[in-house]
Amino acid sequence: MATRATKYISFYLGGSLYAFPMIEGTQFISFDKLTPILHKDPKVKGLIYHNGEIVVIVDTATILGVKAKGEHIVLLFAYQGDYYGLLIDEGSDVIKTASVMTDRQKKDLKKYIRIKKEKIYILEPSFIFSQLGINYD
Amino acid sequence: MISAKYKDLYLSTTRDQLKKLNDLFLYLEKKPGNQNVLENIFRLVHSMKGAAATMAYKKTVELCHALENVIDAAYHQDIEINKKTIDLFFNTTAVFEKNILSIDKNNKEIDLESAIAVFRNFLKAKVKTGSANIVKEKHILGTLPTVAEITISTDKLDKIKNSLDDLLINIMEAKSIIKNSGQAKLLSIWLSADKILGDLRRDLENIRILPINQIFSTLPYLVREVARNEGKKVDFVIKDNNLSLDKAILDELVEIVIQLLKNAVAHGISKEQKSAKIVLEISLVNDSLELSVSDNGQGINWPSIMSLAIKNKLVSRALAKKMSAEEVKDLLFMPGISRGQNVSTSSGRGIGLSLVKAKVKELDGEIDVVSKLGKGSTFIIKLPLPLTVFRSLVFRRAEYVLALPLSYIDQVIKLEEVKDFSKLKFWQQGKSRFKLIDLEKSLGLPHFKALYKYVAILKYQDAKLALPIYSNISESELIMKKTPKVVKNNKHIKGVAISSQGQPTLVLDINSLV
Repeated sequence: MATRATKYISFYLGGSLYAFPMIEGTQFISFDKLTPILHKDPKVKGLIYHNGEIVVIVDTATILGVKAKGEHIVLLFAYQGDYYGLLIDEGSDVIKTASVMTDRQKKDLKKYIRIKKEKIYILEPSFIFSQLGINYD
Repeated sequence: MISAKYKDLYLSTTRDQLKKLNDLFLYLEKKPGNQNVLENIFRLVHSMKGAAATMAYKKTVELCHALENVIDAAYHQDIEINKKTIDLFFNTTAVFEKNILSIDKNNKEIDLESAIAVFRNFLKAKVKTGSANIVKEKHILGTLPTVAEITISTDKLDKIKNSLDDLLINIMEAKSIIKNSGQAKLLSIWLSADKILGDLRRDLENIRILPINQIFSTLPYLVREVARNEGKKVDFVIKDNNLSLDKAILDELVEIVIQLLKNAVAHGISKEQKSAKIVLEISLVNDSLELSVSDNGQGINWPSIMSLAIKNKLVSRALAKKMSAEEVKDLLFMPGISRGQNVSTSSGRGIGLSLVKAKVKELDGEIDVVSKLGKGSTFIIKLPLPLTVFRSLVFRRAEYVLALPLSYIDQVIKLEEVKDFSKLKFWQQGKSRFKLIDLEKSLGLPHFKALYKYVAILKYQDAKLALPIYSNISESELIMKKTPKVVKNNKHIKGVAISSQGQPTLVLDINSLV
């Protein structure tokens, strides 16, 4: 049976490679100046303005519990009219795969793609939103 | 058949045409002999027929044609426009609505034979009784001019708006550079570009802005239908105060209003009631849009709502006893109350109030209800008005860049010497005494003892308020953007705007600070 391949975009953070689904507006961008917002959650770093849209900058390293190296590159994506930028260290390649596996040992990021012998864990937008306490219908 | 890619365009156009058709039928009901209305109805039905023919919806074409024949006969006074004829027209619009729903969902027309037959029989009956001539293929359309209309999604308009916002930011930045350069020629070019951009923004806004009465025009028909189905007679009044709004917001509002009106007719008004009246009013109050749906019906029986909540295990009996009036009101909007009941006024307001509340919340609004048993109920919805481009006082507090629209600022006073306001609650300036706003406290920022250089005197209703500011004060033109979800949780922030440097700025909500 044929299985439809899904595209992911990969990025480095804290020395590991992660994958993010290619959804609307997914791209890497860099920024200079961040506007801090009155938000008690340290996972939200602030806001930037990009191509007519307000982008919420998310501290991905804090969410994943890793140590980030950079502070100015984000993986941008759009979700139901809102724009988010995940802070990353470095952008990488687009991965097309029909084979997504599950790591039952892991608590949070269970889904992964295997490239050669390396497990690349998938960071789903829903996981980001749950961490930020944001609900979408 | 023409490619399915045109289906959405057909559906959206036909839906708009049906709204207009309902409106015209309502008008015809009030002025049955008005030739101009009949002419407009004919033209509209003719246009619907043309669109259906283009899409090869043959039965829809036949139904339009049958309706055209009756309108034509009425125009030539071969038949009389009376209650029976009007009911027939309204029944047909209901059939059209079902038909486009089926085309939308199932890609096919519904069975329209019986609706077509009704028209044919209607005309035949009139012919037999001698009250109508045999319908000839005569047309009242003649050479009436037609205006081409296109449908464009709000997404596409948003993209154009975003590009214009970016352009505006560049032009605003250019302004300060040109001013500093002192070159008159450049300044003149800038002024011209700024004017063109202003016109473009206004034109774009005008595309989106519609008079409320245009969108709400079908509501009298809805109320009439619900009342007819319920066997009730209701007088329905719309007070729109000549307001116009963004169509995207209006579309959302219509859903809310429809639900409230259905509830008012079905549960607020009783069958026995004489002089039943429902009033829909929409107005601007301060910087909010206020919408109310009032009925002079039976009112809400709050003890029954409470009993239902206990029965449906939404609250315990013990908790119910301690609940305040406001908390009891909240029960009305809970799913367990609005769904799981046998609908009657004594036991509640019926279906959908929980959905109404959710929708209002989505729009950053609030809903309230005022009701008195035997007197009626009023549902009041308050929605924040969207700002677009506005001048603002911009200042810093800790690492945050904050803005307050100039419309709220009476004056900014530069103090002769820096002042510590940390222990003061009021500030005396001349003969006036102002209440000081403690921004750190309101925003939950760490308290620190600052020496303030400025005080902004605010104008908000009748309150005398002063906001001390310690540094980096400026006046700036800002462009309001869509508020991200993470910011929406903060009640002190009205939204996020962009400065001429392309920097997001947090716009304070004066309501929450007062």
